[in-house]
Amino acid sequence: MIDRIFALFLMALAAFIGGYGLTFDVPFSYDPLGPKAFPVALGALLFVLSFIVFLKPADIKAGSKSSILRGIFFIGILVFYQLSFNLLGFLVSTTITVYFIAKLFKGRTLQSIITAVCISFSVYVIFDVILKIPLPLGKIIEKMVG
Amino acid sequence: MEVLSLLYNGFTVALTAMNLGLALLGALLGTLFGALPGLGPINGVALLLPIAYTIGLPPESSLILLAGIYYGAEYGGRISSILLNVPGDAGAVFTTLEGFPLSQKGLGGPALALSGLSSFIGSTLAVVGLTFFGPLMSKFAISFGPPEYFVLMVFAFSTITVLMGKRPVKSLISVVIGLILAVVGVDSTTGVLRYTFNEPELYDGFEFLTVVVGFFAVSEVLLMLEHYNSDTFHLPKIERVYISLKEFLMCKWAILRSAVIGFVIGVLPGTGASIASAVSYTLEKKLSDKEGTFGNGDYRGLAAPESANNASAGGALVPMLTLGIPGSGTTAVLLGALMLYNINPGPMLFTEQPKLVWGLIASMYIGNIMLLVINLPLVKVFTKILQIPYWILVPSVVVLAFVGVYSVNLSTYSLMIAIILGVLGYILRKLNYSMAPIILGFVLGEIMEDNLRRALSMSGGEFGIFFEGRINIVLWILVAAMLFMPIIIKIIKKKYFKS
Repeated sequence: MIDRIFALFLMALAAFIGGYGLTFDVPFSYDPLGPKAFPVALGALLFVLSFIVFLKPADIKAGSKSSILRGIFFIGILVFYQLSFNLLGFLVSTTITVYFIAKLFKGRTLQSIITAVCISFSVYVIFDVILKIPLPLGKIIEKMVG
Repeated sequence: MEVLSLLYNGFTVALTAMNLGLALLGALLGTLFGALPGLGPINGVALLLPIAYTIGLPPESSLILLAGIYYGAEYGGRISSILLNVPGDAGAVFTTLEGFPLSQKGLGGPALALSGLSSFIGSTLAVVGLTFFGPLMSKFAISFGPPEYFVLMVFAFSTITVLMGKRPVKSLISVVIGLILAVVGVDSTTGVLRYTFNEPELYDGFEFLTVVVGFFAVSEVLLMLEHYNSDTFHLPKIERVYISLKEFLMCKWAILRSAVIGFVIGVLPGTGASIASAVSYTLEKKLSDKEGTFGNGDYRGLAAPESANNASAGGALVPMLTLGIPGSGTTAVLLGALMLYNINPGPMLFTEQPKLVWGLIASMYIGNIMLLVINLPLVKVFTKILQIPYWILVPSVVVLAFVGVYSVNLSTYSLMIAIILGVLGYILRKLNYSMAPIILGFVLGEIMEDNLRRALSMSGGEFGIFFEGRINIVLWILVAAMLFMPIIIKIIKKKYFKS
């Protein structure tokens, strides 16, 4: 069932890619094919292939409810990480993120806190200080420092 | 001989203090990434590539490090296969079949020693193969024009489709998804914006590392969430890591045969360690399993897949360095690394970048000796690393992946794309779509379209140009042979079992 639903999604995606591709018009192209043909052909191919999967889907079961919830929680953490990366700065944002991921993988509270602090500080020192790859300090901290 | 003097020059590059250090670092990290279940060579290379690039390592040093991780991982993968019955990476699945029974019998030490030696022999023979076949192949490939290149890619994708994954349709869908992802951005010949949705960050297309980290690292953690259990492993005690000469000599043909098989399968586009080890184990079982010892801890059945998966890593570098077509998923990432450095992969690489190519090849001879030392006397250190709990391992990987993606162009926009692709990758993997074809499609997409359009400009729009000339005809025959291979194998199997 899931296999079939995803095949439908791919077919819709393929139709969109093909249809949108048809609008890539150029007044003059140096090559006979132009920018349109390749993506449109790929869209068509994807449509046909996913239609085959739609007709003959494999019997694949969804994961258990708890594992899906944990997956969603994990993605939530990553989205938080992405959104807070510049705002809170690398150190704060990473400490919070690592803490929750460690908890998700069954670390105890104290273990997770220590892991979070160690990872964020050591990565910051290795990258920003030693390797000179700049990591954001955070808009809030920057304001405080002036 | 010309090759030997070029190789000598390569050694002058590889033997500088920095490059020696990087080869050692690559060997250590590779063994580590291979040993840890879930983290294979692709993740290792993807995590280290942005660091190597942003701290400004020259391309040859970068490649020495990253390739070290690649072939090092094929050594490391065996450790948890043998001791815990958990393959460290995809290439080590068949190592569990004989390796784990051996360790249960208390022969974990000899099993680690034999598989380490087989890895070394397989890997080194493949580097010798690369040294001599590489230049030949690149000389041959110089005569390729745009039409030949396009057909060559059709061949590459047909081998991927037929040989990878359980269902060819799904592998081909993966390829097409990769190709579509590569279309996004400004069209280089006409300047038209394709699928950018007025988002300036997409004008240059998807950043290569973002795609790799999303599809591999992020989706891998999502899979780990399902599989892992929090119980700590019970590691069997290993007394001494050794193998007797008699037992080693019993395996010599298994090792040599598998090295050749692994190398050839590695050379084929898109097929890497997992297929090489599967084929070599199956063959060895057919040839040597006279007393029914396979499955209960047979040394030959352990040596074969380990020799083959290491040889495939060297083999996969041949088409990558000579044709610009990766022989495996990880070499697709290495190819992406070259492109990050604005180096155009292709047949000219051997003549235009001799320092890079020969420095890399020379470093692989050295790296394999380092790996032999790491994986025989020092292997016990790595068995300790298997006990790192997931609550330290997983967040470290996530943070390194994010920092890597962020550091390439100091933007958090790519982080969001990596998350989205990670979710997509997770769904695809759950539904048995393979990931490596996506990366291959993504890396080759632009070159494929470019060659298609250039070929048609040459012919004034006539598609006949793809069927002209000897090389094209041979390539089309290979495509046809590849597509009919499943049927041919079926017929052979039927006959074989009837007689």
